[in-house]
Amino acid sequence: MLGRRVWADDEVQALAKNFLCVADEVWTLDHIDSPGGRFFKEYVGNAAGSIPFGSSTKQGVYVMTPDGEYLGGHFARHGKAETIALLKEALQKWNEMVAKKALKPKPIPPRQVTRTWGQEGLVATAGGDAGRKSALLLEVFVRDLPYKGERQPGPAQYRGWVNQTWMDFTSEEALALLPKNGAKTPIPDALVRKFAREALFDFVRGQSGGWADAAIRKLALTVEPAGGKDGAAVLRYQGEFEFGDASRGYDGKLYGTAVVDPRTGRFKMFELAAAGMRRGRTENFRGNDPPSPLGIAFVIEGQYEKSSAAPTPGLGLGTKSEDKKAEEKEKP
Amino acid sequence: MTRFAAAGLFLLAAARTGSAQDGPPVLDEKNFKSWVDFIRATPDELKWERLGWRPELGAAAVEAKALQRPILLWAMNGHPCGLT
Repeated sequence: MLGRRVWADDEVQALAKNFLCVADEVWTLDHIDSPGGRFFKEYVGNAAGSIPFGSSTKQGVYVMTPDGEYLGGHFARHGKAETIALLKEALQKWNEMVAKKALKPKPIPPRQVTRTWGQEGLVATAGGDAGRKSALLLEVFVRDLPYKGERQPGPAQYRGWVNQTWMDFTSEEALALLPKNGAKTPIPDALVRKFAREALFDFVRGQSGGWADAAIRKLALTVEPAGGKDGAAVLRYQGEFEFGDASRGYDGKLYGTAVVDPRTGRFKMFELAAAGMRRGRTENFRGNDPPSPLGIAFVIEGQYEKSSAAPTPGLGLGTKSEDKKAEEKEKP
Repeated sequence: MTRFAAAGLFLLAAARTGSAQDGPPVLDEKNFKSWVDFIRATPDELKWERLGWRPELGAAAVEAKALQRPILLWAMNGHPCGLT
């Protein structure tokens, strides 16, 4: 979606690296008492009318000193040009402060790039249920699928968009994703409904709500043993779904695989695809478009990093994974 | 050729030879990995993560003070590193 595309820009990144970059949920900052909430309110107060906040939200991009003093800010969606202008102006003000107060800024320690969520787990404000006690954290991607001869269908401004989120699972939930007694096992209804609630819907163009129970017309997912690999157990997932309410719907199938350490039950690899036809409107930027195919993928973040496994059969890409090639290309 | 492009061409070719080009996508044991490869973000699309986003403002403010560094806050309805 738009914000992430701006932050991916090389020119924006070169400026942003001068700042300690923080992402947080704005309704929580503005309404819940917490250290972060108090710091945000102090900044808003110090902005003293410089930022035309909306009436119902304060989402945007803001720049401040470590003490919360205003250095700049932009309410709501931000494009590349606006972001560059904001960061340049804020950086100039900060550098003047550094000189005036003889400050000695230290290098910003990097976070581990390949893991968006580290030891803290998926925080509650990002939809986390298990936090630090998470036994499994899945990264979820959603994208419009090829249709009527077009690899990236849809209006030009949204063509090729991908969105992502995360789902965490407690140890009990992760256990429930394993087959019982070596047989094909239905995943418990409450756990499959977690997928419907948190990720099995159209959020390509922005945040949207999950399915209420009343909108779930059909939903089933099974898991079964599918052999072994290098001492680990291989699992197969199959399922189907039909969702629909007054404004939208999504019907399709699920298919996937996982590799699990049989001694610990820990997931080493997870690949689950959902594919089907979406219809209707979403909360953000998809009006009542004609039905079209939508795909959702669930993986473990970083699971492809050290993979030298053969690529998808039939593509003739060679012996190294596509990601391995991309990573090596990016090395300085 | 990126995995995204390769997967896309593979799936388009499959759609053209099958009967589902204008209908629901086919998902089965033979092609689900291609779908996963097509759907998940490419390294370019994930570059936004390289800025090392701290996930909570409160802790980040403490860190910024220790580092004497200014803060860039990206605040959205829905956590920017979650569903947004």
